[in-house]
Amino acid sequence: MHFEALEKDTKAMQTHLYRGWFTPPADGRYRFHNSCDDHCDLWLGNTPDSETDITELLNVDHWMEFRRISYSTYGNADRISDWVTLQGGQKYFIKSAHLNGGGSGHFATGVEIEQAELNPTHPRNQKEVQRLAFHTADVRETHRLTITYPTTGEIDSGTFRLQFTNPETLKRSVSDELKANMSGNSIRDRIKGYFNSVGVNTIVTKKTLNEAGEETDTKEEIKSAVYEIKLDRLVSKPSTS
Amino acid sequence: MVAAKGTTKAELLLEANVQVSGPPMSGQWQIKCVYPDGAFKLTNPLNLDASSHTIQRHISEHCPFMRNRVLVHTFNSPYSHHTLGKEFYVDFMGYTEDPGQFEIVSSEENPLIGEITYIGETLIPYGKNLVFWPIPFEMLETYEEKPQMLVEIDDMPAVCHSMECEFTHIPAVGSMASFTFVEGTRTLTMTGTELPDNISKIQSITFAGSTCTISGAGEDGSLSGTEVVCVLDREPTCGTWTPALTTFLGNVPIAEGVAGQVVQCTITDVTPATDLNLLGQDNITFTGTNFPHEMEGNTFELTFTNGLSTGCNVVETKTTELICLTQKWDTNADKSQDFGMNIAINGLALTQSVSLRTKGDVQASQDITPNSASPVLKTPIVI
Repeated sequence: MHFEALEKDTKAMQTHLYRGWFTPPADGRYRFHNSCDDHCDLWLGNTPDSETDITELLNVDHWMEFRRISYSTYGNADRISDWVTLQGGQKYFIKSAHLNGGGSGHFATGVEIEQAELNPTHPRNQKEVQRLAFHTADVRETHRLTITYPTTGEIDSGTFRLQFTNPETLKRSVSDELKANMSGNSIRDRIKGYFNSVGVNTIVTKKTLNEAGEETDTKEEIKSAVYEIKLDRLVSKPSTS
Repeated sequence: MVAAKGTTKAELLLEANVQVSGPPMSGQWQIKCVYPDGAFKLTNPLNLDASSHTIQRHISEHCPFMRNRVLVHTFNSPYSHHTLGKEFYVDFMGYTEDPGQFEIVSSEENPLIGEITYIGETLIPYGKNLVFWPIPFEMLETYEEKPQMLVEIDDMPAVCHSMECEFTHIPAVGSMASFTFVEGTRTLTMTGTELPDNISKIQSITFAGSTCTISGAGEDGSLSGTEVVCVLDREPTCGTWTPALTTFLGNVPIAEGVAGQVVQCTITDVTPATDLNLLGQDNITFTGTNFPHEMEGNTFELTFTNGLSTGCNVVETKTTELICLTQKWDTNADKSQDFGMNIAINGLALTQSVSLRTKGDVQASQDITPNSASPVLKTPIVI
């Protein structure tokens, strides 16, 4: 087996411990890459055949996509170890712990060999990574809802409902009761019934502003809340009127 | 969407304003696979919602140089829906050349519609460093010296004696220093060190496409430990062979420098040797010795020495007879000509020469009677 655990092998709230021996194929400098969901570390022996003379090379405390090892250079430097010099053919103790919180998880460790010509056609030798993308102008249907509180700082009282009209059927739909201080996600959950019925999802963000219209998180200073309800896609017809 | 009237003790002031959507992206796209020399291939058009698996398959199918050498990932895309955009990563695996920059292009038949921006960039350039992810098993050894095995018999989990299913890795035992094979008696003699000292320790011996049965053991099955003699259970197959001696501790390695022994096929007759149909489809039967007993596990290369190197595909084989089906000849240049054959079986070229002659004319039927037949009753047809 390779040094990894696939998603199918990793259940929620599980910890896996791995230990074994890493045998470098040649003398040289090596560094290691970790990718896991959610937490993992990596220890390596400083000297051959020793289980006690070891150093922690990596300690990763945030999740990342499956086998996204070499993209670590882009904002995830803690997933790449420093270079270490190893002797080819010697056995170095290697161990790792992987903790998965909720949902599915995974774990993998990769190895990079500096300036090596060894077996470059090995099917697992990654030689280059390219990113390809295309996109159109992101002008999504957005509804901006501003709540101005009667008194600055009194954000906990008050409820309201939102009414939607399907532009094709003209059928009206009224949301559940909404609190005036709800989070964006809570608003999204309470209005998704209507938007799902017309085939879209929404992303709702919230900003709280003071009297001067500046952003603030201090409750006593909050005068208004601005909810931005944005569709998750571009649509050819308005989703509501 | 409008804000409904507030129902709270204090009046809330609600304002709503709307920004309408831009047109959703539609159409199809293709990947331009650029080879190291600048040449390129285009994949078939892909839909906007193509998965990473589909993208990878299209690259493998339509860009042969990349076959099985790319991995496509779609990580957390910045685009919440395919009407907005698409992003994916291409990993090039096991390359010895720097691939060109791949590109995304709009399909000609069903072009992308929208204010499209294309992005193609190399995140990790081709270099001399080797990156293996994950660490491959060749570089790893288990911590446990006697790892437990999961045992199943007929798909049913089995319990090992004393609940221990230990598997111990050991270095290969013994070494075969030399061997001889006498074709007349089909006797194979292997010599070396730490060879099995009892028949009971041997699982199998194979040589030249045949199993081999031990001879010359003591009544109790004992062997010398330095020599194993056996007799092939059937005629050998031509090729270049070394013995495969398997004991209950695994295969016995053959010492470096021990060369394989050549077993030749012989051809005593070829039928038909004349009037070969220029359109092909003649079954040519070679009679001789040491042909393979079966098709499986053997390789055959039979071609004529004409300009087209017309092939003859083996359709049946047994140790004394091999039958192949001819392919089409050059119906003009090859008329009434004598041609030899290049025959190689299991990579070994036959040293004997054969000569076969083609027909002077293309075989053609002149008449067929009757010109119709019952779909139910048997009807003799004369050509």
